[in-house]
Amino acid sequence: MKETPATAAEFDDVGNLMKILVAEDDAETADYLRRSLVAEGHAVDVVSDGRDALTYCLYNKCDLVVLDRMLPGMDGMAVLKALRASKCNLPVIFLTAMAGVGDRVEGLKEGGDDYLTKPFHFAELAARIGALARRPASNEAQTTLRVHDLELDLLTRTACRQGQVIELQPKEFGVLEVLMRNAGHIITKTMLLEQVWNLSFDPGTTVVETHVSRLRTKIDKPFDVKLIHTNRNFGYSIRAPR
Amino acid sequence: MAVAFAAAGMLAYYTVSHAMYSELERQLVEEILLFDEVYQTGGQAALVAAVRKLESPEILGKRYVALVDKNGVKLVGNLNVAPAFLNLTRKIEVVPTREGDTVATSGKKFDTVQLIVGRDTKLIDITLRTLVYVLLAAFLLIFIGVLFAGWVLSKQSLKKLARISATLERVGRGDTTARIGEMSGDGQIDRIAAMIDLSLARLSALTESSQNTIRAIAHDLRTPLNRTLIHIEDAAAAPEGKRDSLLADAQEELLKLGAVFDTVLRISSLETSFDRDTFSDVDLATVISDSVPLFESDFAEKRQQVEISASNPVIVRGDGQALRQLLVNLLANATRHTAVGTRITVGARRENGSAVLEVCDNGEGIAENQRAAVLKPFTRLDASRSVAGSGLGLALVNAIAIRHGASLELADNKPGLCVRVRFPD
Repeated sequence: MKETPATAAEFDDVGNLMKILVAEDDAETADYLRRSLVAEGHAVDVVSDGRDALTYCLYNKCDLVVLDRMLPGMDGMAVLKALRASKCNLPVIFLTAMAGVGDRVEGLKEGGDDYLTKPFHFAELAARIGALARRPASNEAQTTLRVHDLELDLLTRTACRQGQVIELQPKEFGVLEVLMRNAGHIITKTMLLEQVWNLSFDPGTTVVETHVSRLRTKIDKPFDVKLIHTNRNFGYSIRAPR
Repeated sequence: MAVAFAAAGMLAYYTVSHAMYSELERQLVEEILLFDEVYQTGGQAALVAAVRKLESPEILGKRYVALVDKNGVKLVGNLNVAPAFLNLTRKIEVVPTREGDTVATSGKKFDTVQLIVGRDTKLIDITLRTLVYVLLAAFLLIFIGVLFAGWVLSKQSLKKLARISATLERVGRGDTTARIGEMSGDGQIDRIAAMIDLSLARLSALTESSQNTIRAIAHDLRTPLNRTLIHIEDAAAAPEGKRDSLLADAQEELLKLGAVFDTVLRISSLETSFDRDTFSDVDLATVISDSVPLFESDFAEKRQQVEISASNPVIVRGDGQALRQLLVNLLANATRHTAVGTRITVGARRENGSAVLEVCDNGEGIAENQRAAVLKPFTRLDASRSVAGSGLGLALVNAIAIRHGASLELADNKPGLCVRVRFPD
């Protein structure tokens, strides 16, 4: 299932490029994050202290924060709480070595938008940043998703391509929905496990691969144009042909 | 206690003394009535004669009787003292005689003379004195007894406390096997000692398991670390075109190592977590119906039949994600460590009130003497060396079970293995 290596940037349209703050006290990791995010086309600022992170977010315009939990000055959780207390809805992704059972739950409960543990794959972080950037406003009700000639009706929970109704199992529908909500962007296997199977851990099985492969058989195989793509063995995306 | 005893003693003294004096007074009143009768029928002459004639039968001490005139001068009788209450009647008064005795007296006034009757109080005095002695003796005896009992008890308590402090000192010096041990009795101290022993047992189990884990990490992570190193070295030496895939392999290995560390962390945080705030009602039947499909292709690949027996909801208090992880690990073991065509049954039910989750297979099973070992982190039995895995699966299952207060049983399925998780009621 290996295809040509592709980074998230290849699919990102310019409108999704962001100003990102990286709050990370390990200089090497911070530099790696800065370089990689800049390579994706984002503008990046780095701070290494929790208090600086909070001040930056409150007084500068930025689109997203990658926040370490263990920061000098003020820990990441306190920064997040202070941000949310001052009614700041800035998307926050925790990127931390704290991988305990309760840590993730706590981080999300306090208003974090995503939680990623070190060590991490940059592509995983890039995919999650991409997904957060595209998060639609909460009052915007979407009932139909469309990619090229494929249509997904969220009310009747049916898929339809070129006017042809396609029967989908509930989990297959779930996978397709997540992919189509993020059309043009990579969704990692871990993200699918979280969003479709509601699993916060990797069961170590091929369940995602199996479902995507079935989805392909139903969505792509009977048609000339392939919509679902595999990226670097760990993520998927759906996009219209260029 | 002494105060209570003194009060009781005084009460006894006054009760007895009052009873005896009342009896005396009754006799004296009767006597006065008799003399009164004599006076009414025979006049003063008969009264004098009766007083003279009186013989004392000494029932309750010597009897005294006398007649005195208006001025208190004795006319006749054996009582030489005129009480001060010459004008009073029917009231008892204790007066001393010239002979040194004390007499309880009462009297009645007739026309010209005053009749005085009396009784020697010696007997009453003796009785009361004896009573006091007896009471004092009893008090002393009890006092000494209590003192002795207290001394014995406190000596026992001190001995027990010394044992507890000695044990704690040994623990403080790092001897995790030190225990206070069984103590006779069921007092506060014995219960505290038992509780300390229980905590010590739990603590030393924790220390031991974390020491094992650390040792196991140090040993067992060397292999994947080594593999990563080889990948990187190969990549460095490889021609341009092959380098990328070798580096990707190294990256893959490192991420797997990260996942192993995650699991170790989860095990250790589960083992030390007692917070049940995050617990909610979890239906084991739903956990099964959610988890089994995750292994669909694994089961299909090895042509293993899976049978689910969980028709009714079986609700337990717990952490939903952790319980799914538990079942996922059990299912992973069941499919990976058994042969092609093995039958696997997954079930949830109530047994005598407690919820039971079980995964059974009819494969080769685990020998009885190896069952305890597989629960320890990084244990991999020889038969499973060729199968991918970290040896952390059952250790995580065990930690999750402990977190839920559940017990983990590995039983013989004859043939095969049956893993049962029994939740508390």
